[in-house]
Amino acid sequence: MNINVTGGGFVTISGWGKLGDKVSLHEQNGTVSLPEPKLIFPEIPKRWGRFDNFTRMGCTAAALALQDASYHKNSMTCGMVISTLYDTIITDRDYYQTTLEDEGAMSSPNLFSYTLPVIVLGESCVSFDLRGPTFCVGDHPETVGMDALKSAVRMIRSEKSDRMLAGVVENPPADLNGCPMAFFIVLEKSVITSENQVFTLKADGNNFEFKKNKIGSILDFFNKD
Amino acid sequence: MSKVLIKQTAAITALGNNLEETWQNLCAGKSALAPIKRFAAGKLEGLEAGCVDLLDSSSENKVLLLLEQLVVQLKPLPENTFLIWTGIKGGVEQIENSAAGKKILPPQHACEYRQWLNHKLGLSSQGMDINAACASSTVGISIAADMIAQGEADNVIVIGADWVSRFTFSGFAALRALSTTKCRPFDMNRDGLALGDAAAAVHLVSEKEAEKNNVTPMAKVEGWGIANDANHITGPARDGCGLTAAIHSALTQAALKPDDIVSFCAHGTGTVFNDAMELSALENSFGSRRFPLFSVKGALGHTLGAAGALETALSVNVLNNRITPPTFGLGRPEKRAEGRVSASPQNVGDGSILTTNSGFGGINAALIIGGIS
Repeated sequence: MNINVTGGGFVTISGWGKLGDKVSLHEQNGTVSLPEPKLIFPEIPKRWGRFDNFTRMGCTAAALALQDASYHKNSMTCGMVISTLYDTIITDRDYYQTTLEDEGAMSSPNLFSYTLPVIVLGESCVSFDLRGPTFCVGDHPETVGMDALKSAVRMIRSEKSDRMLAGVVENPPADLNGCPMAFFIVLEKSVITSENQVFTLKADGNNFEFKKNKIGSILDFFNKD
Repeated sequence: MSKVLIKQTAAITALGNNLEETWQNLCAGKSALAPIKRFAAGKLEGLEAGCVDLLDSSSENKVLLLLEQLVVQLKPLPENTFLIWTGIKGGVEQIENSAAGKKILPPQHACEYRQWLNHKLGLSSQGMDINAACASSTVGISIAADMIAQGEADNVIVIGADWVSRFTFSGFAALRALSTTKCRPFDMNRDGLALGDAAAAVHLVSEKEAEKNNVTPMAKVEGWGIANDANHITGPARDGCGLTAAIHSALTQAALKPDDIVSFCAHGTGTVFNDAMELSALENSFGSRRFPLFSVKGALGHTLGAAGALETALSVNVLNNRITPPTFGLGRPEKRAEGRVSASPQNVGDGSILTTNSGFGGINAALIIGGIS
């Protein structure tokens, strides 16, 4: 099956960009730099000030990918799948700290709301009115984002959605080795709105080929430095 | 497309050490919900939970304790069975233990629970983990069904487990989502949910696999759908648009008419907004037609990542016994639930059952389960 790749977006420690931009993953330590939300969202998300870093990174990379794909709301159903290994562990720890005083009476409802990786999906869906299938999958360090890619392709193949965002979001704590980053690509069954060059993803079972290269990680869609 | 058959189901809940015991106790109108004793909760806005006693009497990893009890109920699985793990918050035990200065008891990440299960069940396939909040195992079964229907796999098992942790209880209490009285799904005076411990499994096979091994399936998965309501991260769309879309997708795939659905196993958490949203989706999808609707969460509690697998397993029992369990806690039904929900068991006619779950992040998932004629 051939599927169109109409856009991509990423945020890393070294910077942010879209599908054709250079990505550097050499920096492993530090904080991820993000563009101003007003530059990439139709409206700044209402809860942006409350977002944890995991959600900010994920929503920003998803917004960059949708912008790259010239996305606007139309009749196509759009869903979203995220791979993550480290999940929301930093927010989980931050939330639990708020439960320790006064037998939990001061527990933070806002932090608790962000202790699930699906919140990136929810916030992105609210911002862009995405109403297709949405869920998160666990990630494998050796095949970053591939379960998300396979799941997104499966949703298109089985006609559950016309368009899918597939990506990876990681915000690991300092005590676990890992690199903070978020990457998304936009997959479309048939192209409606893209103003950019569209590439084809060949999906044959669990084998994927993009620009004549085998895809072993979602990072392989990007122009790595 | 291959038919998707349910070969076996299993569960451990606060109402039973296995699925049959849970089913019998549910149908007898029993509830496992009781004031939480697992941790000090006096200052939290919540009261009851459905706790498995074993978890309180052991210092071992809580989710693994549930899974140990679950896997012994399963008949042997082929080595190439694909495992989908849908527990969502098992790892918070490490955070709680760390904060209390106690020993850290791995696993921590979702993948480590899946690896433990793969080892325990003798499976060689890598499998995958799915987190769709409270709809996790419903989404997991949808993916499993899709894999079988598309010929990607012949055996897929979906396993979910979650427990009533201090982390989760205090969080739902902070959101004011817990009942401070009694969990009463679809009651006009409902005031919130109760949490519960559980592990559940649903093993799906292809038609080819069932024929090859002379398996008599328990039921079949006829359709599935997943949709986001794009409304709010913790609150459902009042008009039920996301759940309506998920139900529509499942009905379309099953090639069924709305009249073919004869029972509805609802998410039915007992919160004001969830249950109202589900009734809106029910009306959007089925009009004013009355057919049996039930929720098990007033008896078992909300079991998070296990809920969808547990409710699918119970839905199979509904089909095969032609009766729904009572909706425990129900006093006076909300107006739109009148003639649908009952505090007593309800008879079910010929047809298929719809089971749905909804979760944070705007996720809605629907499954249609049919009997084997």
